[in-house]
Order: sequence, then C-alpha cells, then structure tokens
Amino acid sequence: MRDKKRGQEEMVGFVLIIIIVAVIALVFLGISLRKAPEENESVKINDLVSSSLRVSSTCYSSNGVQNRLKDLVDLCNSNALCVGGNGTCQVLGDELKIIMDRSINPNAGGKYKGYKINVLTQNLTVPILTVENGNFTGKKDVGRAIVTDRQTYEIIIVKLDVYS
Amino acid sequence: MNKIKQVKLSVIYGGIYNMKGQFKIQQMAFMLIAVIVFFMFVLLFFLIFQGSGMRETAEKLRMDKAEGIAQAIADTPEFTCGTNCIDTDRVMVLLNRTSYYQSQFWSVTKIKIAEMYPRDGDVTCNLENYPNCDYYNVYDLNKPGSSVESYVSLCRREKKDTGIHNVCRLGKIIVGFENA
Repeated sequence: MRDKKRGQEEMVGFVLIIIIVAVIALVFLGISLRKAPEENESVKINDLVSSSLRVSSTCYSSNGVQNRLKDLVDLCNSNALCVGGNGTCQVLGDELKIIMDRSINPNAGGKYKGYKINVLTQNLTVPILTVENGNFTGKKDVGRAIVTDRQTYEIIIVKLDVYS
Repeated sequence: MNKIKQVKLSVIYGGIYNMKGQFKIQQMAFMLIAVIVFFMFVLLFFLIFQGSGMRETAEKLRMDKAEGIAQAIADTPEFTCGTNCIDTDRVMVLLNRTSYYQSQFWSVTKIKIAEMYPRDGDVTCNLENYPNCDYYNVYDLNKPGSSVESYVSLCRREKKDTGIHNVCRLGKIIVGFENA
C-alpha cells in the first residue's frame, strides 16, 4: 500500500515538473511574441524621400527659378509664398500627396497599406506639415531626409513612415 | 530441514528485492526518456519558430542587396547626375547603343526607367517625343528572371528665359536579373 502511494507521489511530482516547465515556456513565448511593431529603416523608402525632394515643383520664386520640393520645405518653415500667391506649405503638401499616392498606392490592396509624412524641425514637437493616407497599422518602414534652412541653419527632417 | 527452508526463503526474498531494484531502475529510465523527449519537442518547436524569422530576414537582405545593385547601376557614369539621380539626356544617348548590352556591360537582363511624377503614362521615349514621354526602355534581353525597382530622380537640363536650369521628376529604375 505504501509502495503504491509512493509510486503515485512520484508520478504527481513528475507531472508537476512538466507543468511548471510548460508554464515558464509559455510565458517566455508570450513575452517574445508581444513585441511592439518594428520600425525598420528602409533603403527603398529613404531613396523615395530623397528623390521626391529633388522634384521640380509648380512653385516659382520671384527670380523666376522653379523651386524643388526640398526648397519648399525650407520656404514652408518661414511661411513664404510662391509667385502667384499660393502658400509654399500648400504646394508642398499637395505635390507630396500626389507623389506618395502614386508611389505607395495605399488603397490599391497591395503591399503598402498607408503612409505618413512629417516635416519636423528639431525645435518643434508638432510637425510643420503632415501628409498621410491609408491605414497606420502593421510593420513600419521608415525613410528620412534632412534639409537645412538656408537662413537660420536649422535642421528640418522629412520623415516618411510606410505601413505594410 | 529448517536450514533448507531458511535458504529457500532467503533466495525467494533476495529475488524479490532484486526485482524491486530492477523495477526502480526501469522506472527511472522511462522517466528520463520521457523528460528528454519532452524537451526535444520544446526545442523543435522553438527552432521552427526561430527558423521562420530567419527566412524573413534572409529574404529582406536579398531584396536590399538587389535594390543596392539597381542603385549602383543608376550611379554609373553612363546614367548619373548625382546621388540617386539619372540624367535622361544621357539615357536618350544610350537607348540605341547595342554595344553596351550585347557585351553584358551591366550584367543584368534589362534596364528600364519609368517616370512617376508629374507624368504617369506609358509613352515610350524616342528621339521624336523626348522629353514628353514616360518610359525609357534602355534594353531588354527578354530572359526569364526577376526584377527590382529603385526610386530615382530623373533630371535634364532645360533652357528657359532665366537661363539653363535642371528640371527633375520622380521616377524608378527597373533592373532585371536572371534566376540563380
């Protein structure tokens, strides 16, 4: 009788060890799976941002020079106007939206679901310009370009987040 | 007689105690096997989980490498006007130069350049319609394989009243590879 009880005790002990190990493994697995969505610095998205900023815009300066979007980032920071009266921020936002809608194509059911462009100065926490479209969930690929304000030498960052 | 009985009893009990010992050893052996098998399953599951993550990383690295090659081609002197910049005037000169692709100068199966902004059509460029066109077919060897794209600026020099200026658009370079 005592031997039978001993055998049962040993079985219970064995099962307890298995259960404890399984619980620890599940907890560890749960922690590793619950990681926050990754932010991934992407070469392709970096290229998209830097190439987009080099595009010649429809905004002309008073000396007749056609501004690039990179110049508009600088001009938007000082709230300048184009010849014709349009705001540089307005033109920059409109052209960036068309460019990103064509390149990223967020609502077409493809790889990318959404994008968000923020134009930020180092001193401000609120962006001077935001352009966005689509869903902002899932894995995030990031690209950045740096523009220097020609008058104040302030650093302006154009950051593109693309969600897939 | 008593002695014989005693010897018989000691043989029987000795046998029983021996069997008990063997049973204990067997019990321990089975338990060890069960624990090892359990941990093998845990390890297998863990390796499968890790393996799928590695495959994704390897695929991403392969794509990054291919896109790097596309960028490197865009940066060759035959095309470039700076970092991430393709001079479309130079591309027009290259369009009918068969010596480059026949000698596998760039080691890729095709090079195409497409404008994405402001134009977004499918008009193939030639000497008659340039620069009012969208698509530069530098060459295509029509070999099966895969292709990668990389975003570039497409720039050309344009004469205006205020002088000669660079006019740039957004485009992409499409490079084809043979399957390994």
